[in-house]
Amino acid sequence: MSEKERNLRIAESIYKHFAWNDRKFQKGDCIAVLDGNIIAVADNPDDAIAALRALDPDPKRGMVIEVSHPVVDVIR
Amino acid sequence: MPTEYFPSLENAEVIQVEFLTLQEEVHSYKLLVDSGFTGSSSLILGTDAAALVRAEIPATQTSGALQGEQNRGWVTCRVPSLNFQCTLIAIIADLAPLSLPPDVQGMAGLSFLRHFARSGAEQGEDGWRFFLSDKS
Repeated sequence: MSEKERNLRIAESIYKHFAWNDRKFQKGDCIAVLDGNIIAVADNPDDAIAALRALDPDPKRGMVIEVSHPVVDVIR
Repeated sequence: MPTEYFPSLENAEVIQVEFLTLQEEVHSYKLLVDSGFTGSSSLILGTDAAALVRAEIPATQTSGALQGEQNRGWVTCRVPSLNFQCTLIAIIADLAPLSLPPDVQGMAGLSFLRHFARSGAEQGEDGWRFFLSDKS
């Protein structure tokens, strides 16, 4: 399983249950994930991104997940 | 209330927004304003804007003029005259299906506009223009 796939497994759980491994999150939390592990939880994306980039400066690694139910974006 | 004005194109409202890279480089983009673009993403940028992404976010599904699964990233943008700076979700995609006007490099949607107290188009002495007003 790739790094991205491990991160997406966490994202799927967060979007569906607002939780991962019995750890619960609030709507609007921004969760930084790297190598399949949660490395920071913040109330804004800037702090979550800063924590992620401090551990790995490569913007192609890791992701920041906003806790919310997925919605379809519509471009009319 | 601080307000920034942007001259309209013949058939479209546009705004000028600056983006900050992780290396603190500044890139200015002209974006089409479309309040009919709704959802959790605020912006649509072309694949050439991938360097603006500070961190990835899981892909999303879109419908309408752009359909299917779309890659997304967090980008930091600002409108200096309004002291507005925010990190938002941008779809990074091939812009061809959107048929944007020449020199327009992406789209700003409803989620972007709602960061401001007021926004809209009005006719001034020099023709139509779009405006954004800060909340402060």
